[in-house]
Amino acid sequence: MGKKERMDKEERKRRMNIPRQKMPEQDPRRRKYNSEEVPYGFSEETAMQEAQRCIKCEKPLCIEGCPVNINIPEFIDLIEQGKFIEAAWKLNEQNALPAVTGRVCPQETQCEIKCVLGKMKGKEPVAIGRLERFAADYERRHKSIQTPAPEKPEPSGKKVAIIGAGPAGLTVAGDLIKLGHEIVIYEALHEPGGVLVYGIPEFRLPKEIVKYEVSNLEKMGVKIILDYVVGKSRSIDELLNSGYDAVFIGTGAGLPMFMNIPGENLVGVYSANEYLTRANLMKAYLFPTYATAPIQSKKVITVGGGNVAMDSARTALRLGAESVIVYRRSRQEMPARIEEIHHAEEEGVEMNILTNPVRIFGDDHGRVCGVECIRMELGEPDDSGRRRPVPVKGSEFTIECDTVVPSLGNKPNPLIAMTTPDLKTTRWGTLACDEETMETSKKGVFAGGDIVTGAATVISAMGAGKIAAVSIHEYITTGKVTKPKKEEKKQKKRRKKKKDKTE
Amino acid sequence: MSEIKLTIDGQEVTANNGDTVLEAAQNSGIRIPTICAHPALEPYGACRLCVVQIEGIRGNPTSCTTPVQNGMIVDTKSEDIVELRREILKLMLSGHTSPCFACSDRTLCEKYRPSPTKSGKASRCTFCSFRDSCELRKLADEFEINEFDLPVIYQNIEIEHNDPFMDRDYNLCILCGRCSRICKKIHGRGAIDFINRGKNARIGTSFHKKHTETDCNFCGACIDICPTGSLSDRFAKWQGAPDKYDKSICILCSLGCSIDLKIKNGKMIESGVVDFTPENRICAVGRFAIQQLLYNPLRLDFHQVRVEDGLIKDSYENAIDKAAEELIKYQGDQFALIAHTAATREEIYLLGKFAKTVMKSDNFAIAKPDKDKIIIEPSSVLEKIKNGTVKAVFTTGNYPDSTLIEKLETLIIADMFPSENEKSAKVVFASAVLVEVEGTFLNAKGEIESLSAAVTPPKNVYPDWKIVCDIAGKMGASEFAYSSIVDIGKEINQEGIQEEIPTAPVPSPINDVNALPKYYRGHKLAGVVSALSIFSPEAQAVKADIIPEELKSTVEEKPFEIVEKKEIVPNTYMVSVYAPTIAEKCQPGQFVIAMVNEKSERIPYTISDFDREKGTITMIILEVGRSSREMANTRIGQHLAHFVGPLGKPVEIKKYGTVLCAGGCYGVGAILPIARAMKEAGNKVICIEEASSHYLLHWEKRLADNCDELVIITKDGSAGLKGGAQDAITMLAKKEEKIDQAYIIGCTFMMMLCCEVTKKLEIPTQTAMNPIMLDGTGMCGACRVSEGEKTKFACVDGPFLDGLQIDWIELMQRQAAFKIEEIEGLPQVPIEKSPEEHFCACSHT
Ligand SMILES: Cc1cc2nc3c(=O)[nH]c(=O)nc-3n(C[C@H](O)[C@H](O)[C@H](O)COP(=O)(O)OP(=O)(O)OC[C@H]3O[C@@H](n4cnc5c(N)ncnc54)[C@H](O)[C@@H]3O)c2cc1C
Ligand code: SF4
Ligand code: SF4
Ligand code: SF4
Ligand code: SF4
Ligand code: FES
Repeated sequence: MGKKERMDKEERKRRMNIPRQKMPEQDPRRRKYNSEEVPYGFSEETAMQEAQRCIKCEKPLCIEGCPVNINIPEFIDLIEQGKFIEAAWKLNEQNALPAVTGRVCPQETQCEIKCVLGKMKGKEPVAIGRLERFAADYERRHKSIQTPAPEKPEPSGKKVAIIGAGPAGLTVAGDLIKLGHEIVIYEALHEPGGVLVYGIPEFRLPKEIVKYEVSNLEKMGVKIILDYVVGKSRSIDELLNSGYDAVFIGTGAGLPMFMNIPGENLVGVYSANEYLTRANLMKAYLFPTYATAPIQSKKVITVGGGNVAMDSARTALRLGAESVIVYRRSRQEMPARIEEIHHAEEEGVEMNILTNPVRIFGDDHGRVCGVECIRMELGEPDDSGRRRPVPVKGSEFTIECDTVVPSLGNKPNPLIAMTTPDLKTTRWGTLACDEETMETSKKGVFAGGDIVTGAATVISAMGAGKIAAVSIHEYITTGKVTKPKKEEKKQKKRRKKKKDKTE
Repeated sequence: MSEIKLTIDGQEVTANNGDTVLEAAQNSGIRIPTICAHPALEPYGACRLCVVQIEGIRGNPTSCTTPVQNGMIVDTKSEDIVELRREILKLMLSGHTSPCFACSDRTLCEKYRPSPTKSGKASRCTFCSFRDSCELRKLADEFEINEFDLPVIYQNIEIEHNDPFMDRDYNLCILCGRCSRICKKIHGRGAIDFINRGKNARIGTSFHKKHTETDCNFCGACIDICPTGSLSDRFAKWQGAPDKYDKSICILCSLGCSIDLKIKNGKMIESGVVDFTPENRICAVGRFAIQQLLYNPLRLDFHQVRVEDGLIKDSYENAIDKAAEELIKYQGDQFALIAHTAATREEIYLLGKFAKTVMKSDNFAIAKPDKDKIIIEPSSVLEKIKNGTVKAVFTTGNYPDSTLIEKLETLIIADMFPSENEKSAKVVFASAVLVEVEGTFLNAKGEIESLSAAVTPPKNVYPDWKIVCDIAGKMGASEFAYSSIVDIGKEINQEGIQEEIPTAPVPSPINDVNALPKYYRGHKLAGVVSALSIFSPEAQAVKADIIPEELKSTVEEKPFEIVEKKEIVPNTYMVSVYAPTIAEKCQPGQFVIAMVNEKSERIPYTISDFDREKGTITMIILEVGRSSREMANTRIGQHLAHFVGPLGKPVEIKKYGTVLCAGGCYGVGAILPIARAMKEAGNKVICIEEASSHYLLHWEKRLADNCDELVIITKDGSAGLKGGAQDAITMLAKKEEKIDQAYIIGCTFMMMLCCEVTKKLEIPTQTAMNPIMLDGTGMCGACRVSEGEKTKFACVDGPFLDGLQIDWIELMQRQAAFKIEEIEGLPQVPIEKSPEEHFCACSHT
């Protein structure tokens, strides 16, 4: 059924009465010991069934909710018709990493919250994220099926350097290579993907998927240079002087925050970045085949309530430890996705809400042996609109443990800003940027993703990448950058408002 | 035998005719120091430490070779004798890697370095795996040797890392001949012996063959008898000295050899021969494989039960419940039990009893390894699985083979390693095995031997016999409630069961490495103990594709080629890598992060030199663990998988006045670019090179050419001044008008000592931090260092930080964060020496 045709009442009703399809998941008792992905994904039948729930709204609000404006009803319609590969291509038009976003996007606060169906009484929204994941997975699994090679665009003779192979950088690369520009990505680590490879764990996002998506970009002609730290190996100015017409900075927010409490340098206190990087990027779970040592603990206390904290706490279980989360606000305030909190609890992560660590105790060898915490209660709302937690006097108590993982979020790495004098930063250390064009204060230099917003989400980084790609294209072909038209502006505003709170 | 009376140290002593004076003394509780003597060996008189004075005999005879005579008056403790022994010992130590004895910082050093550094070569005691057990070291301490008249020498003998199990470093050999004598005694023919004569005498194989090409049986007796760190078990060597000894039986083949166990913290470190006699010799599997099986990374240490989508880890109790619940459905001919021969009598008996009385089935089979395959007998049991009669199997190993597994409805496994069969199993128990189990063993001679549970199994892991008893109990059988293993033994005797005496393997593994046991519980031993693959050609194929895979990432067209590599002094390598972008940019004080292959750690190395024209970066690498070993074992022409830099902040080069640059270990290289730049900036530059001994000095000329004054200082005083860098600083401070700035690079201990001095002298001091790093770009915080009140990330704020404010103790503790994993992670694969490796006089340039 084409989307333009109006759907008759009967059909609408039928569709509305199909229940939201469940996605099977690995048994929590089993999965907490392995690094296999937790949800199994839709089968072809359930996907087609779920796709039938979409009522093909005239004004599909879901699209507005999507930071990269995926044409949601259209790709869902293709799934409904069994045209799974075509559905994946539809996704690809707007989204270079659908298998990734289908897994890690907070759909419940983006597209799905807007879904017209979901607003009706007693109805749940269409499972847009799961359908997105399904189509992308289907395409990857059936990669043998001939996909028409994308037409090689006419080379433009322009060259763009992208710094950082995270979702922002990869998105810019994908969009610009399609326009015939020569693209080189410089990545500091030894694998491309940014947080997708070093932070988000295998059980949530199999690394094979990231590899596949990156290899697609490489097939399109994107060149990725690993082991290259911009600001050290070359500065931005040197890149601009060596023949690049523009530079995009997508270096993320990779500077871990600590709590600044006594005992934080004891052996056994690891930033979430270290804890997760050892496990993910360095494959410490395959030690000693891989050389990086895993962190073997008896009891791990993760401090924080965001996605990063959930990932650390669940990784701790998989490393064979008891896992406890300590979070200073209440559960409602936890910035993590509800699904992730739920998964963590299901697997046996103990939640200590309204609790804050005060100091960490160590033994004679300087190794962690416990954490003193204090109970909190909620006071007046703060800047973020959330009620400010205040300590309850005299409520201190100690939890014995041998590992503490502060997962308080990350700040941008100052390296590039430090080595590029004419690049303006904000007081949070992020790069100052025109939010509508992603231009920085330096001519020819654009930025996007966590380096601009502070730690946020994969999809917002990709959204910023899309805007930047448009601006960069205009800049290198015409020499100037114009602001988007009004109606597009509106959307961008919304996006800005939705910036994730991380903790 | 007639008795002989003599006097030793004024004490009346009786001895047997034919005893030596040494034996007579030892039998009467008088200790005479020895090193070449050993109770299992004939007197030899090589080390001469056991010299004594005997009235009426001229000179100082060696007590180990002098037979007792009636009325002899022996003095073992006179001042002259003690002095003579000290001289003998000093002579011995001067041909040894012993500078630590003459080091005045030794006590502090050992306090801050409680276990020796896991180096590739022992260049001194702090770098020697045998430090805590060494007989030579104990003697040196007993004789309070802390200075040498003759300089110690490093003999520069190639280390043998190419053996499947042993590392041999004859630089530590004191030529006591214990190893060659024991080998001859035990095997009748010696695989090793003295080769060369006189000054060049040393131990080795004939024609320098590899041990795998000689008669060596890998019984390990030579390792166990060697008084020094020369000969070691690669798997065990870094575990330190045992805290407990015990005995047990190796049941990996029907011979059931007696073994000695060295135990630490309840874990077995090594097994070995019980008494160094030919009769009790053991094979390579008994000597080297047991601990590698027990502490194998693949070992199961949890129980699993099946839920809808797979196996889940579960408690022992739940696993028992689930097994009982499954098995109760299959009583009678539908059930079969497959056990294996490498089990105690009690286990075999109980498994049989379980099949018969609880499961009411006659289908009890035993899997026996037979050369290269496994035979399950009686074969009728397999037939019954094949034709569908048997629907449920309980097995204590990787049986039956996968084609038969499909026929089963239920499979319960008790095993120590995972297997393909697990995919069909309803319950998988982890079993306590081998020396973790108490019981008796019927060997091929028909003797019953006992095993003690000498070693603790992993938590909540129990032996097969207990698993079966608990399942039986759950199924309501009352006759399985044994209070101890002894009761089971009694029951076996009461029942008067006819036990089949197993046949001895032919040829015997203790004579022939090709006849070594190949299976345990149906798992190929070579599959889990990789070193054994050397002896089984089919497994060698596996190894063959492991090695190229490691190098694979380096085969592609990639940068980071190693253009120069040399071992400049023992255990210290100079590696130059082609990396033009880094070479173009790098500044003194910066570092790089290298990964030799895709599985490596990301390891930081200071840039010791760079050549912008050639595009090369030079690093000085001390081999002290797995990752630096990977680097030490690279070859010229190989490409590193990853190489990133320059990282960290450069040092601030400007005119300070007088600048002091002190380097020790790898830091000698690292101060070079700083010294050069400081001199170019118009400073007066004084360099200090510290080393334990003269044979560890390198790059003196390069340094001298780039500074105004070079001070050499060695811990043993064998070259330059005697002492540590901190002593040189004190000396210079007296001499110089003013020292405006100091840069210190070396091990943490050395930097700490230097900073104590510069703090007193109020010299601003920058030290190169060397904490554990992960990314090296400021992303992880692993490299946190406390500088005064502040926490710094050494990779981005450093590596140079204010040495006067560093919390050194915290730094050392943080560096030791993974010390257990560092040992576990050391590779066990033999390493062939690389052709370009040699050191030469040019290390001094
Ligand atoms: C553990 C964890 C879980 C998360 N879970 C979710 C989730 O479920 N859903 C979600 O939407 N978001 C999640 N996020 C947030 C999300 O991953 C980030 O917002 C997103 O990755 C930002 O993308 P980016 O491209 O801006 O930066 P990054 O992904 O951080 O990539 C930046 C890249 O730039 C490289 N780089 C940095 N400096 C340099 C330099 N000087 N030169 C060269 N390269 C450089 C870095 O090595 C890195 O590869 C999570 C974050 C973490 C840490
Ligand atoms: S809002 Fe919901 S129902 Fe409407 S088009 Fe989007 S997904 Fe379909
Ligand atoms: S063998 Fe090792 S521990 Fe013993 S003295 Fe020599 S270097 Fe020191
Ligand atoms: S290797 Fe050991 S046992 Fe053999 S001669 Fe040398 S020191 Fe003695
Ligand atoms: S391992 Fe045994 S056979 Fe081999 S050299 Fe040593 S003592 Fe001789
Ligand atoms: S090594 Fe990770 S921050 Fe320094």
